[in-house]
Amino acid sequence: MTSKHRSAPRPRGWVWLVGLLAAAASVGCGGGRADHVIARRVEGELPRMDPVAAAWDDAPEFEATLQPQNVVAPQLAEGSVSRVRVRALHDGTWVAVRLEWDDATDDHNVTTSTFSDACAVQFPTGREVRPSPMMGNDGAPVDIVYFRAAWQTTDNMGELYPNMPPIYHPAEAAAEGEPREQMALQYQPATHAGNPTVVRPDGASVVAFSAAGFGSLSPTEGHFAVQGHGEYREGHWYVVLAREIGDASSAPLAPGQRTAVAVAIWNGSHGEVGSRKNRSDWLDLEIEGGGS
Amino acid sequence: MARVYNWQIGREMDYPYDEHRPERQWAGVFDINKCIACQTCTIACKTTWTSGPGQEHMFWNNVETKPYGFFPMGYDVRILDALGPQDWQGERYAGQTIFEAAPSGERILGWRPDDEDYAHPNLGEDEIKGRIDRGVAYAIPHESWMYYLARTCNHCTYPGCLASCPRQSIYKREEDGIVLVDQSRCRGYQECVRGCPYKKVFFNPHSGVSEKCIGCYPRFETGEVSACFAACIGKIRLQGWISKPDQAREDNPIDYLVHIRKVAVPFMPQLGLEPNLYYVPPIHVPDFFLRQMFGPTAPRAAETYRHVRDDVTLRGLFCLFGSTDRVFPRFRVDGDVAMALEEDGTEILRVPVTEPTIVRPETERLYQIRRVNTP
Repeated sequence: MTSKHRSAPRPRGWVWLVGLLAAAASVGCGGGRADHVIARRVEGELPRMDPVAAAWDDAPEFEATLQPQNVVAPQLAEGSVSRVRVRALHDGTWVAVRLEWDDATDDHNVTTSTFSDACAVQFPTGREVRPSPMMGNDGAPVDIVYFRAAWQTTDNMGELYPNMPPIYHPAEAAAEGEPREQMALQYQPATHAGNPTVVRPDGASVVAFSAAGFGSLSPTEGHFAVQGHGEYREGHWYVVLAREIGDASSAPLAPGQRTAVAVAIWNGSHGEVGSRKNRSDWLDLEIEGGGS
Repeated sequence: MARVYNWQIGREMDYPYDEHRPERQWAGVFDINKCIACQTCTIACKTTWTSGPGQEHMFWNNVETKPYGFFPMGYDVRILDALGPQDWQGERYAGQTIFEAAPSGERILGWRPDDEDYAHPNLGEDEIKGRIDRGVAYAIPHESWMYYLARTCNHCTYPGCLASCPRQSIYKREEDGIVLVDQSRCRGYQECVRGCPYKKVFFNPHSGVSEKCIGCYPRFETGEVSACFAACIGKIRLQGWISKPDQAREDNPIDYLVHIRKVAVPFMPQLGLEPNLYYVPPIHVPDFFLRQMFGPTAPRAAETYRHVRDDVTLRGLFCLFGSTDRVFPRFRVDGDVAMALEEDGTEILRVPVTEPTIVRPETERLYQIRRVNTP
């Protein structure tokens, strides 16, 4: 064994250097690093649904630190994600934030005591007052764009229980229209009630919320549109969370403005859900102006 | 934490919200001595409410065998173990409730079952406490024992699920005290699954939100008992309204059983939730086990039940169990007749307290047939 190890060629110093450069290129540091989040303007298509699009390579990267939510109960005693790499782009009408973090497991199923990996970004809603970074506060609400990996899973039950025999469900067997509505009221109450995390337009993997403090996550009633998508690749999550900028005269996200963004990450296999999360403080966000 | 009064533990205790009792409180009494674990109640609930996708593992109503049956696995022994040894001083609980024992950073002392814990709802069914050695089965009283425990949500006065939810998605109805998960507001965090010590909130993996027993409120609102009560073929169940102890009414059937005769006792009152299902404890189970499961007054309740045949009113009320699908807020026993009454005294039905014995001849002369004594 020893002789075999000795005979193995050792890489020269320049090989490591080339490797490092190649690795840097592969993770796309073309946009360089920044000391705050800069949403660079793109002239072409904004990658609202593609977290690994080449366009992200041109966005500067900001590495934010996260801390466990340990202010209100139930708390996260120990954090599991301490850093998240943040990039942002905009096209004048939408702004998209791409989060990248390390995670050893791809948790995209939910059942009892099994939780999904998830992330969210939040934005202040006014220019004057900076809300609490912990989901805003009374009188100072925040907009939230929330992604859950489980919302991308098309057959959660099939993946969890591959040997489950076909089961007759009266709600699914009922005729379309009123009969099925009635069955849903009885057997699929969350669907019937229009729960925004259950009834998502086009099965979207991101949902828009408003909040004004812990425990106040509420639907936005179509206040702003959102899109997004996540990809898990070799121990990393890449997730894009995009939202409409809205009315530039009142929105703090208007091009040329400096505002803020905050990030939350949930590691499902660490039992993180709801208020048990890794969160950032407010991060400075610059929406680059210029262009058409 | 607010200070609230919990009569089942005889003292004030900590709770996240102020004391606020509903106008009327949904309640039920189960006579354990009559349950045969036929699971008709379980199936009545299953077909009525949990036949949807993601509800396959849910039994809002279940019947388990004690001491070795659980649903989900080990639900009661795990919370008792987490709480550790605690004391009663007479009928006053001197230990900690699960609200008072909440670890730092948590709203409640809880634990969350694993998916597999729901996979064997009948594990331990009909298992008895110990070995039956040769001849022991013929000895009375039996050295070994078991009993069936039918359970639904307790619609607690101080619900653990409600206290656990960080976003107030669970509420207790003002008009009847039924505890519900707001299906539009729940985000599927499962804090309620963790917080309910009776494990009667379930996570639906298809929808991604939690669900629980709704007390059959669409039936209850029309004056009908819940489906699991109506389906009980053993007639072990009585549904109605319970008052606070100082407002107990002698003609309210639940009040009479729980507050006045104290023959029905709550399940694990020491946890502090003031559950609103009450059990007539099994008369053949050792006192130490009854005390752990049903509090310090359970042995006395079992003793009262042993003498029910000598007690006209109590015996009459037990005859009304399962006699009607109507919720009856009042009752009266008059001679050998027990009557279920509406609030205004209108009679719903009457039953004989003693079934008449009719002796027929062995040979029926009219048809020239012989009767066979088939029970």
